[in-house]
Amino acid sequence: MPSSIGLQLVESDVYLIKNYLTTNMAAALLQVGAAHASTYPVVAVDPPADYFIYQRAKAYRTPAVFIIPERMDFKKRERGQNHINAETRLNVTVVIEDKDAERIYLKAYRYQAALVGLLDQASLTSGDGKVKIVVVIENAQFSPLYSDAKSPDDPRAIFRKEVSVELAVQHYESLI
Amino acid sequence: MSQAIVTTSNMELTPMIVKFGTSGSEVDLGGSLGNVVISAKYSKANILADQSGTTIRDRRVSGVEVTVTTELAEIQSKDIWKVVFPHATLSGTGTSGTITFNQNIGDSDLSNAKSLVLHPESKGALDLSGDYTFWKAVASAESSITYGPTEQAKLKIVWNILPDESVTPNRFFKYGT
Repeated sequence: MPSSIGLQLVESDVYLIKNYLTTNMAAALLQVGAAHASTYPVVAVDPPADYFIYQRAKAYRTPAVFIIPERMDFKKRERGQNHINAETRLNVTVVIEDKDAERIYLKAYRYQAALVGLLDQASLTSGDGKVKIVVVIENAQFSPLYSDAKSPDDPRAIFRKEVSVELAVQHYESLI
Repeated sequence: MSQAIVTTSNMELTPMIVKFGTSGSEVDLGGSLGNVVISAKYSKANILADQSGTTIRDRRVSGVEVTVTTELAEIQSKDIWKVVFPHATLSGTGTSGTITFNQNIGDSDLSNAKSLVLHPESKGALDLSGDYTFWKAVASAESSITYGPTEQAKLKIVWNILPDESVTPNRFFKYGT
């Protein structure tokens, strides 16, 4: 007989962040675009077409957001808690495609700004109130530029790039 | 086996907005580093009796000590220096101002004390439920600053909280609205 049943753990982390981004990402991108308009090149950035909680999605439309946890550290020795007081390492990755190499870099930068602006210190609570998470941004990473063409000069080439933010999600959850 | 009833929404993890100045119009001191640490202590005097030797029979409050410690990052602003060193003389304002360390023997902490407000970034601007209000805060006026190629310069500040004598009993700070 387990001592606690009904724990939500990393699943709540994933869906709290997914729902938060789904609700707010389009507006955040618009705000970033407006803030950058007078200083940086103008580029239209489409909001995410889809969100995934698993890797290896096939035939997806971009921009696509992947919310993928790597591990959950319960930190019992460090924190000595009487509840779940853990840290989930989780990556939020946006896959972007564009025919223009410069534009795809700019889109990646805008997505980075929107993600960090939305997620840094974001405090989210589950519907039943049992889980609270606070998001701490660890770093942002950019992939190399990929192309499906043999030559990047091929006018039919479509470039692909990923921007990813690594999160240290502080997860608080009651055991009952 | 049993488990504690834990209300996770009551937990907190947030940086603070640090504001200091005349009560009601405190100024945001901007970027801070090294967390914000609030320390409070009711000092106690032991009540003893020869008949019971060193056994402590009671402890009575003999004083209150409250400090707030953080590091201020916007060190090019002379206004920040004036907060850290209230006995120094500020002329001008911001980065174009000048802070001068004159001899200022006898300058009073109480006369330099102002209101210090800590507001958690996790709360909206109008939600004061997580605010700390210190009515009479004055910096210890002891700090050092390090310039170098790899580490950001910053000014540590320790505010000593003096009693607000405008009310009875004298008060030090409150947490909440």
